[in-house]
Amino acid sequence: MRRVKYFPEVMEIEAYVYTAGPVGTKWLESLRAGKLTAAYCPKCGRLFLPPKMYCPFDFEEVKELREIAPVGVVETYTVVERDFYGEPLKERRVLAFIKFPGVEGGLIHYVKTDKPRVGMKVKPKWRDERKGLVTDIEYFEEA
Amino acid sequence: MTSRNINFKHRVAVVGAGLTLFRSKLLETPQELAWLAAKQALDEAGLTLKDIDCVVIGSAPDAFDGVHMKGEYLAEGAGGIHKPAVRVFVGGATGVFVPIAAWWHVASGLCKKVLAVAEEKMSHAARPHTQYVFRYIWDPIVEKPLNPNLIWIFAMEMHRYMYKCGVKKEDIALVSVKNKRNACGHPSAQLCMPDITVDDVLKSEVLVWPVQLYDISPTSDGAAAVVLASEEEARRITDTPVWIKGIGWTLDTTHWTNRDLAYPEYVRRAAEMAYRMAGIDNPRKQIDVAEPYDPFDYKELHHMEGLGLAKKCEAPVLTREGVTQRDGDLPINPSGGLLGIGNPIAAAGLMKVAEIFWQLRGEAGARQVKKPVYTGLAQAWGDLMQAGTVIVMGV
Repeated sequence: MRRVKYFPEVMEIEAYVYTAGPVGTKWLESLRAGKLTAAYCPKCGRLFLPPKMYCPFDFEEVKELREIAPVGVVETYTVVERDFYGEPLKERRVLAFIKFPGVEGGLIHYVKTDKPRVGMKVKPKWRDERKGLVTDIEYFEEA
Repeated sequence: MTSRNINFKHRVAVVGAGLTLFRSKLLETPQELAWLAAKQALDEAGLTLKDIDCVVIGSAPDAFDGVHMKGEYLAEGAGGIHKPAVRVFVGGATGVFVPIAAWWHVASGLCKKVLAVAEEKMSHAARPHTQYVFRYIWDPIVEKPLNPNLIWIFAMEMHRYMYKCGVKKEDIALVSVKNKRNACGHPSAQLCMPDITVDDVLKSEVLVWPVQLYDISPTSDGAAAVVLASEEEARRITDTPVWIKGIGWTLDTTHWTNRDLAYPEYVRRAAEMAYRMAGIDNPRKQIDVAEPYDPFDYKELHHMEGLGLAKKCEAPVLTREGVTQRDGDLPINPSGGLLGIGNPIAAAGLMKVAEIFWQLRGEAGARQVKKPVYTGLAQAWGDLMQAGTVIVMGV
């Protein structure tokens, strides 16, 4: 590239280090233990995801997580055909928004299925080696 | 002097303030920090989120927290969901711009009670250093190829000020000593140093001459919030509202080579705007306590002069004479400032507004200034170091 006309530059911090927050940290620890949990608001009694230290509905402090049944319902889904660069994927991937009964919010995750459908009941497929990441669930599959 | 026609419908008061700890690495997420401060401000005002009509959010570059569109991201923790919410941004000057924007929401009659929240989590931009975020604020053609560091500008500005006013490093170091000592009275403080001396500052590591380590505020995580209300609402909420008497903001050129480095014109103009509105014609006599922006020690002096709290080149003299101490005739940064409490950019500016609020209410605890105070001022500075924001408050 001709320097006097163009000035190419890479504009990135080399590494970001994010924190999960006190409640988010507990949530990730429970994932590592193979348990699905949701944040519990002591004031309104709602369970919600994503987990955080305040209730998004009434602004109360939240400290507690409660284990939820690991069965979700597909609210909507899409089928990913191409990668970030526009190249066709070897294997199409189903990505779904999954809600859990009695929980506000939900999770976005992969679902391993050939026939996705709205209303489909799904359960997590846990990895054997878990690190405390949302990807400790490898994907959801039909329950 | 150009006349500015400032008409507004409603008087506006601050009725509550909140502040998180300022630290270099906090566990809470940016949203959670915003919530901590917002919740505290609501509690102090005796309000709940339901009482709030509109929300104003302030945060400096997205690149710190590492979440693009940080205003939208913060909205939930700031209480902005399903409410008219907006994020304002003028770099480092944002913290004081947040209550300015909140003020016009109320003064216009559009909203009665506004929650104003500022947050910054600089520790996310971890490697190589938070400072790297500032590598991309430069002119890409005439400056960027020199690989500039933010502190370069400050070093040259500080040196120019020292040269023009004949100020010694010892005089400037007094500001750092004062603020880091003042911070010991503040529960949020990151850098309380009760025994620091001028010698310690002068012996600290030279970063970019003449800037040394203790001349600079640290990088920090934190959030601050205030609740603003119209006169009618404010009188219902509290017996001791703190009125916003004047606001002002201006920009200078983005080219720091084309500004007066020894005198902050952007602050002078912003202050004039605020003073005209507040009916202040002799700030040195009429302002009882002030929180000028002090990310560097010399900037406190610089800004005092821009604000008319000292004549040109007089701020170091007032500092040396003890006038700016907490028990002095014109207490400056009784909170401990950015040098002492810390510098989570936008939150640091709003912290200053919160400090003036608490000082004027007589609620500053160990930090309460000795003399009775009726009128106070907070000021911040930012963008490419050319934005000035000023707020005058009174009881």
